[in-house]
Amino acid sequence: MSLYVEPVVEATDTALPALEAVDVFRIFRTGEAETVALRGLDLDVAAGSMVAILGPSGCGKSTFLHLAAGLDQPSAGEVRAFGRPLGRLAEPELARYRARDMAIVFQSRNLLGHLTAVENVALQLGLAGVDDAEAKARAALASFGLGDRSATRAASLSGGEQQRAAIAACAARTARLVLCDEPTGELDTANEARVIEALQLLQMEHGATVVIVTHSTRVADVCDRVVLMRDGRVA
Amino acid sequence: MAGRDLASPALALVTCEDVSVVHDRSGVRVVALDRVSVRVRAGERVVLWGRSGSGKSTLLHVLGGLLEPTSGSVSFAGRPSTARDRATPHRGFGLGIAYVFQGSSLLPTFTAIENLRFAARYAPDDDGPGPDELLALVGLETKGNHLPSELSGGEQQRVAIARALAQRPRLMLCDEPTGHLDTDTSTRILALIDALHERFRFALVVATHDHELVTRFDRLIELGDGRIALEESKR
Amino acid sequence: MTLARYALLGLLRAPGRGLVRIVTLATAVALLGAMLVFVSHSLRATTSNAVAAVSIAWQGPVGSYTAAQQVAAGTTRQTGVAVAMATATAPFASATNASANGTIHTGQGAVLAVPADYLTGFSTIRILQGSIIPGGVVLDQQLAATLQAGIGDTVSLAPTATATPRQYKVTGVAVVSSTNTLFAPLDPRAGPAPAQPPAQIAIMPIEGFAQTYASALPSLTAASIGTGAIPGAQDGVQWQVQARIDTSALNGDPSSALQQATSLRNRVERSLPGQVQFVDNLAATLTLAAGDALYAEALYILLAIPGALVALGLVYLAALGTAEEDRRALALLRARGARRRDLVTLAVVESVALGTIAGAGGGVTALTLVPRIVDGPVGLGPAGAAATILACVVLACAGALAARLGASLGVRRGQVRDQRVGSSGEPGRAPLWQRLWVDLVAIATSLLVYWFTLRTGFAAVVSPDANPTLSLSVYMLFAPALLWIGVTLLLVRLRGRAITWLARRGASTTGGTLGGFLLASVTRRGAAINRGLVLVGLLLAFGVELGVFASTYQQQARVDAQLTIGADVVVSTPAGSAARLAPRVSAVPGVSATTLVNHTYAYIGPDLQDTYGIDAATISRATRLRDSYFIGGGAVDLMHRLASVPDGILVSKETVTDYALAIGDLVNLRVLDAASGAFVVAPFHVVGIVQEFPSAPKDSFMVANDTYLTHVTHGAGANGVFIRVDGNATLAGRQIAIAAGGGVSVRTIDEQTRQTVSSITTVDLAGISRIEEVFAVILAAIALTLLISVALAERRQELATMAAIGAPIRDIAAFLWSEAAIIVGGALALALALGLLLAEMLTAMLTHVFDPPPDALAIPWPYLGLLAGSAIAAAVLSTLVAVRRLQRLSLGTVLREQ
Repeated sequence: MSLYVEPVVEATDTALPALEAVDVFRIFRTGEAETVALRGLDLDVAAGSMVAILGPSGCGKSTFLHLAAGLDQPSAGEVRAFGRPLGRLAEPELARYRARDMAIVFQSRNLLGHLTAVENVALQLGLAGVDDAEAKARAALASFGLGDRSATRAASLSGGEQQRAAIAACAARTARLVLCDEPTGELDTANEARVIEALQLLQMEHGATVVIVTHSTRVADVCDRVVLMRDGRVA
Repeated sequence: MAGRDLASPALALVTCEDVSVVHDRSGVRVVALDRVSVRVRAGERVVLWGRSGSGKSTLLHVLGGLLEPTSGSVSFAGRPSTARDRATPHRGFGLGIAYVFQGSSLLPTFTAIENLRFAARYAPDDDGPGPDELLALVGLETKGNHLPSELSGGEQQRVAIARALAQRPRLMLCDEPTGHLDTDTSTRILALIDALHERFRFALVVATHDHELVTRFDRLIELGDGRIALEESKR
Repeated sequence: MTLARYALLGLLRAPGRGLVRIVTLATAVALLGAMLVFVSHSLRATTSNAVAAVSIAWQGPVGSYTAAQQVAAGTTRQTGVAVAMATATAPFASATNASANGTIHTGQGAVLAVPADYLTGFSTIRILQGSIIPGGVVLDQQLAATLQAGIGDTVSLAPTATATPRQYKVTGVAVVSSTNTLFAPLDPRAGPAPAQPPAQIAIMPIEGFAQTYASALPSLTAASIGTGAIPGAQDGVQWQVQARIDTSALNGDPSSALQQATSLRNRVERSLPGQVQFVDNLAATLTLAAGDALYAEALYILLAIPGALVALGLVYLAALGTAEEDRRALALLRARGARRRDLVTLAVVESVALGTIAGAGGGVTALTLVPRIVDGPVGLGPAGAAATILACVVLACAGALAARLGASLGVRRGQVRDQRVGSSGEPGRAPLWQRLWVDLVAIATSLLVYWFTLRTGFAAVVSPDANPTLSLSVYMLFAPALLWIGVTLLLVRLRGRAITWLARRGASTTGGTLGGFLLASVTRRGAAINRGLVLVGLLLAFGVELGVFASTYQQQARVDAQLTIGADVVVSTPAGSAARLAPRVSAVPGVSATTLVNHTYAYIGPDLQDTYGIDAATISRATRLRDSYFIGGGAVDLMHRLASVPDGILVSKETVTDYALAIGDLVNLRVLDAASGAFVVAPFHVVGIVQEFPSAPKDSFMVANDTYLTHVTHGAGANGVFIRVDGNATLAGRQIAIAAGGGVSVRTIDEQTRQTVSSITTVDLAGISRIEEVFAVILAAIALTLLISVALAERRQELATMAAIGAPIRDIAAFLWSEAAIIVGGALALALALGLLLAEMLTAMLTHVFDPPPDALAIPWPYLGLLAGSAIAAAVLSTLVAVRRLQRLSLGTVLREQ
């Protein structure tokens, strides 16, 4: 038992934005061609909010999301999550960030195909070091309407079900920051609606900050704030 | 309907009657197309518009003979398609169908000019523009010796279009041709396609979700959830 | 731990994915396992061969008959001793047969006295007629022939020139083998010293011998032995206890057999304190065998490691097939927060699972395959088999892990985002080894060592002490190993730039034809083609190196055998009979030439040397004389010299040095006069120096014209015939034996080749090389199949696009065919060049060990043809299959995957 008193960190410290981009540049070089994906992006996302990032193809929104997830490093500038600059974290710390604090939902292939839904979620919980992973996974899947599909292999789930399962995993992990890259891009209207519900559930009941990169106006409509990006920066 | 006079502008190049495409993924039935009928005439500019999952790509593939519908019939120049046609669609009925896909699909081991020359090899001989001229038409005469990996996304797409022209197509199918490109490039590409269509008068079907494109068309077919939601003609 | 569980689940639920990797891994491991099995088998075979070649394990000199009986009894009692008997040897000064045809005298000879049950324990005597009966004597066939005595005749033996001759009835005729061991001077301090055997031997029961004969002679004691290897010089009775030990307990490798045998002897000697010290023939043979074994092991390792490594390269290639999926899964896990430690755990668990299955399968395959290839049981026993399988499992796990970790680490270093999108990463810096030019350094060092070895003849030395140590020049292993490493790295560095350059040259001339497009494509597929070419090329190079070295080895083994016995077939006869036999033998079908040889002895100074009387004109026809056998001239030249100088003689280098001789000098040799039985002086003139000669020993020897030699010794003539045979020597040997009749011994080159005595060239390389050759062929086929299916997988989209553009299947298939052809063609060229160079290097490294050294490499064209054929056939078949798959490809599905 330590005698040292750990400082208490407020999860929803309104003074600290959940996600910040400060003059971020990202340039890709393939052979002779050079692509400037982000040019001087400045962005703040308040904790606990749901923000949609819209923009035409190639405006850099997906690039920004990958930077925010710690999966990529900016060429210049800084990306901070909960005040911590991601560029200065060592690999083990980044891994912890990705496991516990942040969750990312891709447009597709969020799950390992040969594992069942519950195994997928439990695996993520395991990586986050959460006890009693399987029970919590089951509970999360149930709360997102996938209780009866939890024993199905991920490859056999429909697109919508896979996305919802991925979101359920975010909830189970109690991730503070949830990043979504076109989560409804491949879904029909009905499934899109269910995914939107799931995302709202994440924000309301689990207090997560949700950042969604999307083309869909339906998604944008339910967000607290819409950010328009164009040609690598906020329009 | 099954006339022999290809010169007649009223002749339908491709006709789909009551076509449905249904996927079955281990217990879940996904209806990609639901009883769709479409006719494309020579020289027509048709836009299939809808979001991801609306069925526009599926319809495009059916029109191009790349996908066999679960029900309904497809005929090319009045002749119903056979299995052999589907294996080599554009050769089975002497039409000449060229594809431009989202990922450009240039042959990676050939330079730009070699891509064109390779395509020209299998195209019918005529007095039309040769590979070098076509490359100049799309503004890339200086980049003929570049490999696809050395070209930017937009340049790759332009080469793909030039290659499609080298095939002397009567029908060009474009699936999200501006998908991965930024706004500026997208606009230019679309203008290019337009100009080429003016010049060569092939039938053009473009599947897209991009609003910008929607203004240039002879006919617009909006798809949603596998069904035709709206059909609009400008002529 | 959760990750581990999910790794296993993944394997279980998608078995097909793992199957290819398991099969490849199992094959690679089976190769290694087969080698392990074979090596232990061959070591045991070496031991049992060595042991079988020893007719009398121990000989213990004692002072009297009583002592011999006591020691024999005491020795037999010991566990581990099979049999011990009291025997004796003694000289006789003359033998006489007073027969109806007149009295025939012979000169010196020896008596061998044995107990009645001797033949039950030892196989040094083979009775041709009659048997050993108390009171009687059995003559060896040579003596019987000389005396013209048969069963029933009475011969008298005079123990010394002055003693009264004793009469004995002839009760049988026999052949005595191992005479040099039986009649060796027994000095336990010096160890086995095989000596010149007496030419005439009489065998009698030891009880009778002790009563009637031994009294005339003094008994040799420890003080009075050491009279040298001179026939007739043994001037007393040598009582000795001969013993054989229970060799079934001696299994395993020669070194441990040696230890067991030696400790047994020590135990026996300690139990009879002060009574006997044995001369240990078994230990001497085992020591030599142990030296051989070490050589063999070093050789096997040297030959096999490259193959094993290439096999593991194949495993990596097989892992490539699932690498893309694996990388995506790993990238996803990383995005979910997996640490490097987690990814490694995942890799380890998966590898252990795959490795266990593959290892078990490979081990079992090895255990079942080796006996089939080696033609006989391998005798491992359950413990050995279990150990082999365990070793295979460990190897398989290591191999699977190495291949898997490659993928894992690639993910951690690279951008996760790029992994998911599948784009190529930014080019990094060249790896360390490239920057340090490790490849060129390795090749240069290798060639330097090779050149150095050729110049100075670095020798690997085996010191024949009690504990054989192999002071192997480390350089021996360096040159070939470094060449392998260097060439591999160099090829990797080049990344197919040579191919690209060549193709570019070709493409510029062929323009717009299909050929032009094919070449253009090749110029950009350089790296991919290189990967395949290097892998298959190295694999085939391994096969070539192995095949060439093994066949050169076999070639030298036959040469060595021929050198040992003298010719393809050798007939030994009593002196003088050979001339009569020769025409009969020449008539046997298959015989292409014969020559007469007289093997006798002569003194030069105090040295007794083997002397060979030959017919210089005909000898080169009947046997192979190499230039390397002679110094100061070639074979033809020296034979010519010998023929033109009737009293010419060829002597060894040592003789020339010791006696300061020059060509043309007169030497006076003392030869045994057959008529008088005494030594007389005969003059010879030195005409040349000889180092090796068919059937001559490794010590100094001399070669002269038989006509002159027979003349000065008043001998009967040649006692042997060298025969050259076209075709099967064994078959011809049998027919020759029939044609020659009884009383002769016939030896063939095949028997000799099979006998493992004390030369490395007779270590059985045939077995292991056959195993590795079989695997090389199989692995080549697997490699090509894998490569082409990987190529198809990589180019699926591209090829489907070609179809969409309008290219017919034939044209598209041409891209696959051309790539396959380049890979196979390039690999074959690489294999031939590298394989031959490596074989040459290896042969040079071990050249002193080949006895005699090979003049040229023996190229096994049939095997090389098989290897090339297998590669080509596999390439053709898999390309055909790939083209078929291409045809049935649903264009739409593939193109829609974009």
